[in-house]
Amino acid sequence: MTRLVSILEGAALILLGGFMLHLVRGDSYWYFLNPKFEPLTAVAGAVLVLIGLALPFSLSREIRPTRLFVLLAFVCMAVWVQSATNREYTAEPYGMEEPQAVESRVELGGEEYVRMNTAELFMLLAADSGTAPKRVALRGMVRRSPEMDRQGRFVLVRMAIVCCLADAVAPGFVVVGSKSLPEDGAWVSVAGRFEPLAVDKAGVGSIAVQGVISTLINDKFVIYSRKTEQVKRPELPFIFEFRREEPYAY
Amino acid sequence: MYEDFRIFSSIVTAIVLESAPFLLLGSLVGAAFEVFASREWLARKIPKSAVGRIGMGLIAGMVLPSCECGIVPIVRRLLMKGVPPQMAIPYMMAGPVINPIVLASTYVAFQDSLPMLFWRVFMVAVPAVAMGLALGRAKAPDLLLGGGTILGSAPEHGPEHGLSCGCGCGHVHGPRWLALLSHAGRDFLQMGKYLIFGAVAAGLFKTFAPQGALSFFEGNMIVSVGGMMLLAILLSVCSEADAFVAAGFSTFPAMAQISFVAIGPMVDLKLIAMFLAVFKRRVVLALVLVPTVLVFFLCVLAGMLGADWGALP
Repeated sequence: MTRLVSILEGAALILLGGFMLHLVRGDSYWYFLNPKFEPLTAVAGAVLVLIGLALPFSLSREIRPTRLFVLLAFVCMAVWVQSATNREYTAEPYGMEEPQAVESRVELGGEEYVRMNTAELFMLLAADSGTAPKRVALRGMVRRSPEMDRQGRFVLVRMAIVCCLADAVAPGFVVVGSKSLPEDGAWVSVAGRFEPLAVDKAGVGSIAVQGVISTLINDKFVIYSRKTEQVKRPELPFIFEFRREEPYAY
Repeated sequence: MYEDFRIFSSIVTAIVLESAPFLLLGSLVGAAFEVFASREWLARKIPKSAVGRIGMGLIAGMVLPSCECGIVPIVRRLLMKGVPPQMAIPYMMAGPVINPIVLASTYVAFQDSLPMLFWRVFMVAVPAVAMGLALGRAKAPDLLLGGGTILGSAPEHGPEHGLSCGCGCGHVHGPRWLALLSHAGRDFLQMGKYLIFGAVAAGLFKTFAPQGALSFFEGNMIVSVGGMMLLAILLSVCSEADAFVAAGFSTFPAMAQISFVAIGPMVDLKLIAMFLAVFKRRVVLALVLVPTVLVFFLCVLAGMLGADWGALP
């Protein structure tokens, strides 16, 4: 019996380690974790497989089926959610942008706009608005509400992750001056300048991105849009990198 | 309902996958102590005085860094190897913060603020020292479930005997590398169960708690500090990332942000689950209550006295 339990426990560890290796080798690691941890996950997965192979050769007197069932249930859930999320993202109507190098600035009407992401701008403005570039080019997802529609505004938001999905927040900005309001949930790029303006909290209070700790809409600055256009979802829709100077991660 | 379950599953999976390498590392380190470090060798390295033990526990994370998930199996093995609780418990509480990686991430997250870094270290060190002093000359069997014997070994054998032996004679058979892997694997399995339980609890909260509820805690210092501490415990964010999360709550007072990053690495849902697997109930109660009460009162006091990240204390 103890040999059987050891074999099953070893198999459970091999399954978990194998799933981690599969995740690293595939395209869906970023659903859960910052890609910078891929080497760590890969090493841990390989070590778990090794331990799983070794476990049946060392017997344990303890028989604890609960931990085996819990681990197996977790692996089943993880495999399911990985394929379910994969289906959702590949079925998205907005497609996916092919990875490409981008210039750190884009020119519009003779003016240069600095490409950066919403988290970078959020952090710069929180530290010192004087250091942030005045004209910025951001991209993110559109969020609308009836109150904001009446004001001709929308919120540009994007999920930011430091380590894993569990610490995700969604920093964003109110965008004004757009000729027409883009569709809720669409990906857009906005080139404009930020200006201090007290934002009506009642208008943004209902804006929330599901699954994050907090949706942080900047309440001191808005983006006056020079140009808003629909774009394809980036290959990595979440923000994983935050830089404090040019070239920004974008 | 489907989308809620998908988000819940994603969050649980993310928490476990992020924590797993560190839990594995902690299990391997603990197993290495079990297999390779003798009680006599450890006894020679441990200071004799209370101040020395607590001090070494506080800074051990600088040499043996670990996140809060990995540190519990390490400390369990250290205790079973005869390391005094007066040193091991402060290490368990302070190690996830007082280590090079988390100190650096804290400094960056709070915009290179040395005062915020100081406050985080201070708010973690005080409960760690308090627990170290309270433990006095307590021994491992006073703290550990099962009295400190490794589960599965014959009761007449002491805690230094390994799990890798199936006949219960208490000696490690076969090569040491096999003993290392089997100890690590079984520690990982045991702790992993509680990690998953904690992740499920945190996932439920994140998926179903209304985001707008946060604004309720912005009112005053007491409510802000209490609210942020509760959030830290429920969210169970790792100690490397929690500073960035706290920094995002810029509308909260600085001391409320500090309370978030101080309590999280010492008490959260994952940790409570793992504590219950390792320690006696009254010890778990102390490990939860002492840091909670101290961090709360110290942060509220510091906040009301006007301490903020812009000025040194």
